[in-house]
Amino acid sequence: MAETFNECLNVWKGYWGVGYFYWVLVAALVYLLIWRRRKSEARLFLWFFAIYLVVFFCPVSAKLIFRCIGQDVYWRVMWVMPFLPVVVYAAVSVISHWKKPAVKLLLTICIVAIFAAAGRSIWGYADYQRTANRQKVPDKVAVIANMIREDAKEEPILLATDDYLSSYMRVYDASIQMPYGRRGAGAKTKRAAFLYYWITFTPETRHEAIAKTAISLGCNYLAATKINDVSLQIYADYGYTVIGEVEPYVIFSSKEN
Amino acid sequence: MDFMIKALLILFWMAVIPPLAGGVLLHGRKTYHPVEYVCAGYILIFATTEILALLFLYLDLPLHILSAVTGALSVLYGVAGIIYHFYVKKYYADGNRHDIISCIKKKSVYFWAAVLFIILQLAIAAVYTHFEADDSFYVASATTSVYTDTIFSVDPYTGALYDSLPSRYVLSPFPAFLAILSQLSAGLHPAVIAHTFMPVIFIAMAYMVWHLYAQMLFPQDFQGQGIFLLLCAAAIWFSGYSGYNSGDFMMVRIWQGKGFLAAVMLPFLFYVCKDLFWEEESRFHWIFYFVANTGVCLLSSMAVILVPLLTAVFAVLSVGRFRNVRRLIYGILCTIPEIILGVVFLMIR
Repeated sequence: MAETFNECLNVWKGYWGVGYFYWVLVAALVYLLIWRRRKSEARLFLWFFAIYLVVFFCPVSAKLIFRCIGQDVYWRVMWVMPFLPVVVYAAVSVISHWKKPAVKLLLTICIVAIFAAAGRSIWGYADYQRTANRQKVPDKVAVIANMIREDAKEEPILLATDDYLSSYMRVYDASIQMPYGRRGAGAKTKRAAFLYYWITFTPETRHEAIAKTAISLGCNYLAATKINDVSLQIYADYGYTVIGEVEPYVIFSSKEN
Repeated sequence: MDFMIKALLILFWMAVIPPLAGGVLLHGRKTYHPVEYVCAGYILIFATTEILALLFLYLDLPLHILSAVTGALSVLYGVAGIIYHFYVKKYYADGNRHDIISCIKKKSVYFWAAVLFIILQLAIAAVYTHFEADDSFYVASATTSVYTDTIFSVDPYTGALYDSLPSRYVLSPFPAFLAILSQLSAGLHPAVIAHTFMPVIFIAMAYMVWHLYAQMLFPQDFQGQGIFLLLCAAAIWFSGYSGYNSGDFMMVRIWQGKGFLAAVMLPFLFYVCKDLFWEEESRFHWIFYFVANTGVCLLSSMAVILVPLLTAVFAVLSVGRFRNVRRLIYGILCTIPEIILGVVFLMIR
């Protein structure tokens, strides 16, 4: 019981991340409880929070929900709680109390400043980027996919590559098959799983193993990193020829597969 | 030119049909709000897609048939919605007849500041992107379905046939909805729809829902409504403090079913539940909520737990407020779709 409660507490803390928005929420709830509890909507929000927090932290209900959705995504249960409308409702209630437009404007600016201080801008956090391709995958992925498709013409493609490219390749071009996807998902054999591990985590030391395993799996294309003259020769010995380079990848093709 | 035609088609399916289709579910009401129509239209289309996708998956039918049937039904809903509009008396929530010009004139400067801020966020969503590795399943499922003309038969990670269906995801086939949109818009790439059109339209929908809250919480205070919307936009903009909250999901991954669930559908259903469970007289009806419970199952397997949780808490609140169990019983009945899917999931796991 105590262990489950602690798990719930950790989830609660993790949900609020690096900011102090949690305290803004507490302030809003206290305000509604003390000054706005006669309002029907305020009572709804307060009672909803009270009941939902009991459900969230109660070890019995928490364990049941763990079994249904998995413990690692228990934080999604918090999506149901109306954090945003409660905070903003309280804020607007405070602002609307004042009649002078200048005071309202000043308070609005202050509350936006509180949000900024308590939270973190999505712009900085999300690492927004522009891409040259309309599909909005990393441009490297699009360039490599187009290069491979141009080389293969109408032939089927089985591409072995690292975790980064394999996460987006089939988002861009579903005609490119792979022996495994992101984090090795979909790998049907141990060989495929090993190939994923070597090419993603130890590319500089396992070129021969990578080339040999890729050929045995029938991969007619390979996009690998940490390539030098020695490794180029290794890949050539296994029938892979270079068709292009997109930093830091060298793209190989094998006409034998 | 080709892209422009596809873009117009996707806007037709995502921005024209749903508001019209909403009239089917909201038929017979004395009052209506345009935003409720948009959400109701999406709920109806989601519910239809959920049922058809599971049925066609079971029957092993190709994607293009699913797309054709879903598209035809969506158009039918839209036509029915148009017919409804010509026969309904239009009143806004305060009972007075308004026209658009007077509504716009009543909006405060805070409202227009919020609109500008929201337009900035939409522009960022349209022009920029956040690389989301989870797309390797969700969006790749759609591109795979379009490429192979199948529904959840091919592993999106590899392109090989599934040995067994992914039980957790197959009952919530939101990628199938994305694939359908791609086929209905003359082959517009699913990733383009997911990364450009969906963020713009869905983020706009999210703010429309928050505007509903503003009008619900401050019904006669137009300035308060504007400040509410502005502060919502600000709070969401500064929600990058963790990768778990709904504001973050709204801004960086709303094209995924769970992102839309967190950012749009759960807030809208909270709004609906308040009307159904907390108010003496409801403007929504229980059939609408039943269809909504069906529709959210398309978005994510999370909905199978979260929406019944929401319903349960509201049901308890209603028992306490009204001292009768009528709403509790109706609430339980409305969660039948989730119960059925939950049982099916346990059977196929």
